[in-house]
Amino acid sequence: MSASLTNAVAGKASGAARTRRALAAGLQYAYLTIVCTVVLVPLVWMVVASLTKGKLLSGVPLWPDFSKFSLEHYTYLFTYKSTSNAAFPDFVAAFLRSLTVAVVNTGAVVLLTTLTGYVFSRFRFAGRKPLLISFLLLQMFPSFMGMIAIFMIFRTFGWLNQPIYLVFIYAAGAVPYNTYLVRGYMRSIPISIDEAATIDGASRSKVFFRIMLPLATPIIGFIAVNAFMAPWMDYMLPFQLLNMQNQTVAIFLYRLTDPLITLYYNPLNFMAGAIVLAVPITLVQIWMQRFIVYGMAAGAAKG
Amino acid sequence: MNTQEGSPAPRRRSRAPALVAAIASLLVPGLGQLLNRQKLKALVWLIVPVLLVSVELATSDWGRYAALRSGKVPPESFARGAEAGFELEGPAGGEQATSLADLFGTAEAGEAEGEDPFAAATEDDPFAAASEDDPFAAAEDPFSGGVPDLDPFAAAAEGEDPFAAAAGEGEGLDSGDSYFDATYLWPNYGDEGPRYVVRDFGGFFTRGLWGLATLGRVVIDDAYAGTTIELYNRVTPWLGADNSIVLMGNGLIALSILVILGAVWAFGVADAYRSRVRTDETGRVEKFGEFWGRVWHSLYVYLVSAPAFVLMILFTIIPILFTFLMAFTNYTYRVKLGARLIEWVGLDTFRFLAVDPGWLSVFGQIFLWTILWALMSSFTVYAIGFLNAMVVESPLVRAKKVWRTIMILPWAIPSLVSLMVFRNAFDKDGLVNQFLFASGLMESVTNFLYKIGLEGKPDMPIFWFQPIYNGALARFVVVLTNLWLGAPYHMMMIIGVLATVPKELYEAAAIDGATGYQRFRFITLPMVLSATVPALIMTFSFNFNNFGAVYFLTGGGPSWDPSKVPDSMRIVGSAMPGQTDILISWIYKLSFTKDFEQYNTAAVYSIIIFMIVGGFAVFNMLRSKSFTEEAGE
Repeated sequence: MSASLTNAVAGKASGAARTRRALAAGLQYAYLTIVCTVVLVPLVWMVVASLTKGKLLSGVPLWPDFSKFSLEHYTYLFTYKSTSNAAFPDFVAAFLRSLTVAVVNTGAVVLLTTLTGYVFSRFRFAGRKPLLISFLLLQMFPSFMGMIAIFMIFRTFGWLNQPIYLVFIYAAGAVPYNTYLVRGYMRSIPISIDEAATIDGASRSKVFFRIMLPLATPIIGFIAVNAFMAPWMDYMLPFQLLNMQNQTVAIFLYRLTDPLITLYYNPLNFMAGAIVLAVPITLVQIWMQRFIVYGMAAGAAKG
Repeated sequence: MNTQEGSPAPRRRSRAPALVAAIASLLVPGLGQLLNRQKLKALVWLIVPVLLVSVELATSDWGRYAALRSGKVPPESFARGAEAGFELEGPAGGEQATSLADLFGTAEAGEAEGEDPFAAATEDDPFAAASEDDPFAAAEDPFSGGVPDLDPFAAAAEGEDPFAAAAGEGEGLDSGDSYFDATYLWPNYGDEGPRYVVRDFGGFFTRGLWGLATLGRVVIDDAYAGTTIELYNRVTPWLGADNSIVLMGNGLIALSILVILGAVWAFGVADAYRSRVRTDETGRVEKFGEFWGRVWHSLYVYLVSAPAFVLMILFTIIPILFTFLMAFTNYTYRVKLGARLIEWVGLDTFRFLAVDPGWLSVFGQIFLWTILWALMSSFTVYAIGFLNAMVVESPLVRAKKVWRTIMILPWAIPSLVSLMVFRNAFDKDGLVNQFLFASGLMESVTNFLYKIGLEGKPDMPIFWFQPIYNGALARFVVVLTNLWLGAPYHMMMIIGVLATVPKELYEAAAIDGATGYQRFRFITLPMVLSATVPALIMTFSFNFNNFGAVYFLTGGGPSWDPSKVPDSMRIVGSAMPGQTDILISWIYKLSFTKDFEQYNTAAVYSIIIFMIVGGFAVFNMLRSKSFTEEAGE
């Protein structure tokens, strides 16, 4: 495939070459169509399922069938309250909880890691490099067992069942790699800029907030997107540290697909919830694509 | 916690005063600064022992211990027989009242009511002096004058536990016979039999360290100190059974706090020495403001990154230490906390897992599948990502942006959501089976699968993840699903790299008459590969531990053929790995399958995984450009 592709590029405008070129283009469009079909079919199925009556996957038509059309799953998500005095429907409350955690996490991670990245890029101090590398390494330790320790720390500090404190764990997890990225980025900013500012009387904090932060926008964008995404997809920590009244949206969705929880099991409700959750996140990801591609390249180059 | 600051070689002038200051600071943080006539600075370091001692005291019963030693406890309030004491059922697990929120609340309450009785109670305590370097340890014995009542202890109890305080105030300590009023019961240490003073009276730090070292000594129904241990007792903490896990966790937290405070302390010793030397040389005492400016200047990096490091100590280091320690214990589901103690067993678990043929063979098979999975999943996503990138970036393709946006959708959607959608799609009634039925392919597909020994019955919906003979099919589906999820990431990465390949190379190659294949083989491929090798290694490590791709899709299923499960593995019950389980998801099952937890085994396997993945990371770092660049720094 690739061979024909590059062949075609080089082809001179002779008749045979033109045929080959058309053939190559045809092949490439065919390939793209197949890939996009494979990508889209499960997603379309998800949408169709979320709009189908009942609670059985077998009732989901392969082709949109308007006799089975219903909005009941979306109605369920936006009206169902497990306790009648709850301020919000369960799904909405769980969504808002996840959103709060995500927003706070974004702020916390950006502030923490840009500060540490700044310090690591601009100052020489004892143990700088071993510190960073050992933290990067330590994070590869599989942490399921450590969950017990985290649970006890949360209990000791009285943080159990309070989603907002999950931010501490997410932030702690994000610091090493992000510090590494920010440090790499800030090293590419000429040090003469902050020297000039220092001569003009700017304090180090001022240099950081007024000069470094604005200059590091691309990498900060990447960090911010990642920090915003992490809490939505996390299942383990909220599952262990929060009770059902304080669940996040990931737990809520998972519960809808677990056949053992008969009260909530309804894969079609899940499909609707998955769409409500996935659409805004997907839009944010695509909207922030520029930063993400940049950050990925930076990460890949740094290894 | 000690530092080497105390032994420098004297140079020009006598360093004796500096040494004295350093040693004074070593004994009591802040004392050296006081000798150097820097009062404000002394206050700063004095916070360390004050914090230590007040947290320790506020969470301890050292006051009661002092009363016990001085013989002030009426004989009738000692523990005598199993019927003594009033049991209050608390939350399961026999938890200690050691929430730090309470703990600091207690300290404040103690101060509000006057620290004096509190401090006085412990002043003659040899234990407190030994363990906390109490500066006032040598003070006179307040009990020598004879303190008739036990008020200080009632006050001490009040902050800690309203229950006990109410009892103490209302009834006094000698009315233990009332049914409704719970009264503190004093341990009756006989001449024989063990006595664990730190366990019975210790505070957050001493008890924490004791617990970490011993993992507890007494459990429910043990005869101890003249009575029988209960599961939990709110009024008389020492009557509660030891919970090894709580002890280990609190011990680790206490140890970490001690290490941090120790570092501050060591810094104080160094500072006492240095500032004395400087004072001797310059003849003037440094002002606090100057000192603060200097500290802010030289410690800026540490102060600014302190929050990040505190978070990492709490949520990275402590959990890792905890897991690591767990590998050296005998903690499994058979240890019911409170009724049995966890014990340190050294390398027994490692030895068992390395020797037992059943465990070895299961681990071996899971390990092989993990490696195979990591290789296949990394290779497929990389190869297809590469292909996608080449095609979508080809000059012949128009509307690149549209194609690209569709193709990155699987990456933009939260993976948890897509995995669960796929789990439903591969359900018995899911999309895939429905499609096969609708297109009339079902029969030939099941026949084909039947022929290669997978699906049992032709012409039925395919059960993708359930029957035990479908292991290979399930594994195939897991890899395919991962391809759907992972290819777009690699596509984006490679598109980024393609943009960096210099156009001149292609032009030069075209002039030299290179064919398209040659240009791909000798320009594009090497350029992209060399740029993405680190990312490829990271993908491998990531997939090696890609818990979600397995757990949320198949849950590890299908299960093993029961006849092939080795006998020695039967103890793990439903924590037995399924045929698609990789190491990390098996560790999850070993850790959290209710009633079949094998914490020690899970910890050992965690360490093994860490060594493998960490080894890869180190290898990756060593060969990466940025590392070698900096090595000479």
